[in-house]
Amino acid sequence: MSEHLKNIDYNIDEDLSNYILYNNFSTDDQDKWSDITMKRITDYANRIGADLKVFDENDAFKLHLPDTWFLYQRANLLKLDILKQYVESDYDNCLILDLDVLVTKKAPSIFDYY
Amino acid sequence: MFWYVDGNERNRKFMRKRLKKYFDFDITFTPQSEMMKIKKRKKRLKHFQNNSNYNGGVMLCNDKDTARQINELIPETDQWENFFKSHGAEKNEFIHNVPGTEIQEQDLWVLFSHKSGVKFKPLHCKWNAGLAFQGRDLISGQTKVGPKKRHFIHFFGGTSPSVRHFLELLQTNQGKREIQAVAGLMNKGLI
Repeated sequence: MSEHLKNIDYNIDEDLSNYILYNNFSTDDQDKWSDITMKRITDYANRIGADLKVFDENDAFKLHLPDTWFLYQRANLLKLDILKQYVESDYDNCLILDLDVLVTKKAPSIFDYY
Repeated sequence: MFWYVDGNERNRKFMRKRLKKYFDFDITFTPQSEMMKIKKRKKRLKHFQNNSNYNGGVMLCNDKDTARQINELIPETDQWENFFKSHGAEKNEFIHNVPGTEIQEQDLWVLFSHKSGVKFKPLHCKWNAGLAFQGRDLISGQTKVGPKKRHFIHFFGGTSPSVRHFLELLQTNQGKREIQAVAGLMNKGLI
């Protein structure tokens, strides 16, 4: 571990700091990280007894937008359409989570809090 | 309806510009840092409701009447193109090296909520803050809300793509302790 890191008053695992310092995180490999977040979201829905509806690129392309708009721009608007679906649904509550949200393993039901 | 605020002043500045340019909508955001100077919780809440923009990640809807109010302004699935055309925004060009050019969903949430008179309520930071968040909830004033106390951790889309790779690490090793260590490194500006 570098001297610099040793001087920080955090309990840093040496393997972890080496991993951080010496890996090249130059790309955004969504396929890898989203497996993790998606599994956590699925486990969470099961644990708190919520129905899970996944919106993906197929839904993004259902939005009638100019052909020049690419996937990210389309997906970016999906939540507004999801609100529309919620209003028209029989559900009382709706939690919308982006794919880059990590649900921690012991997270309680957010519906019990609000 | 609940969300957590994006306190990034750069993002808020670009949002103001886009809202003015495309929707002729004027909005001024007082910096979120000002909220910390407000002592009364009620006043902080009012400040949040008048000066917040959605930071993405998590949105909770538990009030259909409120949702309906905003929904009135949201284009139907087959009307998005017309909506943007009517505002001269159909190109929505992403211009390299010119930050803040693209319309974001956050712009529309702010626009529609203000136009419909809907006031979003604040989620506690436990439900949305980023990994490197400093650990103080804006509304409750609760401090030391470190990574161990979070229920959801938001990795903030394209703004910090490298952080996403840490998810693999957090999954495979000892969980929360790693989160704390990574957050520590980030707060120190090392990663």
